[in-house]
Amino acid sequence: MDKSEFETLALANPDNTSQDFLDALNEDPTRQQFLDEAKTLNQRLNTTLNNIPVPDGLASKLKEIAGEAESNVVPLHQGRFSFRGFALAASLVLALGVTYSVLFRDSGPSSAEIAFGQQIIEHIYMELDQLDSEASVNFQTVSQAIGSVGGQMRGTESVDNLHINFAKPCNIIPENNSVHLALQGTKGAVNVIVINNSPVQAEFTLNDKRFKGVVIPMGKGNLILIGEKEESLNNYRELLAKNVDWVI
Amino acid sequence: MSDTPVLDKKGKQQRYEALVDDLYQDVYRFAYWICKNKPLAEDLVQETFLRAWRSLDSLQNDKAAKAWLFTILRRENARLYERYRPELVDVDDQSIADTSFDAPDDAMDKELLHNAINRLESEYRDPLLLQVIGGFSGKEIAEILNLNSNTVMTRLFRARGKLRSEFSTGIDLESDLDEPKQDG
Repeated sequence: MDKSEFETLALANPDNTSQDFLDALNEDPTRQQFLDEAKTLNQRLNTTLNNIPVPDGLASKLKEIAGEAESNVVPLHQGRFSFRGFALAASLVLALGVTYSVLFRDSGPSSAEIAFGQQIIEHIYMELDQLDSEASVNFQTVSQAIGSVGGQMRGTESVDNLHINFAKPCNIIPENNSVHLALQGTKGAVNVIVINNSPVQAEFTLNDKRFKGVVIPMGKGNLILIGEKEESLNNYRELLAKNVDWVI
Repeated sequence: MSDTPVLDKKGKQQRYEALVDDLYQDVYRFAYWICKNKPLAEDLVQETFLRAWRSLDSLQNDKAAKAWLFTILRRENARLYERYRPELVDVDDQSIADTSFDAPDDAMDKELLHNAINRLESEYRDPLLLQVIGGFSGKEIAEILNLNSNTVMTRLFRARGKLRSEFSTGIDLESDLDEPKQDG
């Protein structure tokens, strides 16, 4: 191991105990001094990074969160976080509510529907790393995933031409079955989510800073389409309507 | 903590509380160094644990809980950052921890290092935080950040090299700090 490689390993991990590293350490007496200095730096780093005081009562707050989440179906942030978080959540709730009431219902969405819509958007953000991957899943995998929530997908030419890079069960609402597919759209991933027994009884649209979507009641569940704002979702809606039989 | 998921309600609560007790301090410190703001760090931690509670059944092995929580927190931070940019109080002024009882030279050293860490770009800072606060190996960091292991080690080397250049310990480097093109 040359000097450059040794120094790279020593600074990357001064506590390296691999045999190769230890052997290299003994090749040159000056390397021990380098390692000692790297360890000194690391000790200071460790002290500085881990010396941040944790707020009093934080553990109790975190435990209370579970109790609140268990007893209430509320939009995220509400009643728990600081004004910043509350304002952020409120703006999203308002956006969802306005869209919904204008398009479909005078009375506006129920709190459960608002919470559901927000959970969907949050789920998309949670999965972002995987949605735009280059991976591709085969028809059998997609068919099995849809089958897990009571759907059946036909292997038509239109379906065969879809590039599907993600297909797996998910837990937007943990107690309900749902499946999440990501199709390769023209502007990014187009998410197709099918969920059983959702709280949504009427079609409504979702809007976020980045994404737009539509929640479509189907039988006992919902078909949900979400894509980038610039994406045309109608084409996918039509394609899925023609090629997927829903028995949910 | 147990190694397998517990599905009943009481068991879930116990599992969650054990997870909080074991990991909330590390998660908070990671959040703090990522967002450089105490109130925002606390919000991030609360949001992270709420998501953890909701998805607890998907955590198959509690030994992976720390990596899971850190991943959730990074995503949540990215989401908040994408939606709005809060006015951050300069962390240098409010959170140089425990300097009041140090000798003047030590306090100055801590402040210099603290400031140097805050100046690191996130691509170098995050692997360093995961290693020092999270205690993760290079391979584990690579999985969390979706990078290959060589890239992680290069970034860790470069992170400490940058700190060393601002907070000199007398180390003279044979290799330069340019990062090879190794991203996977």
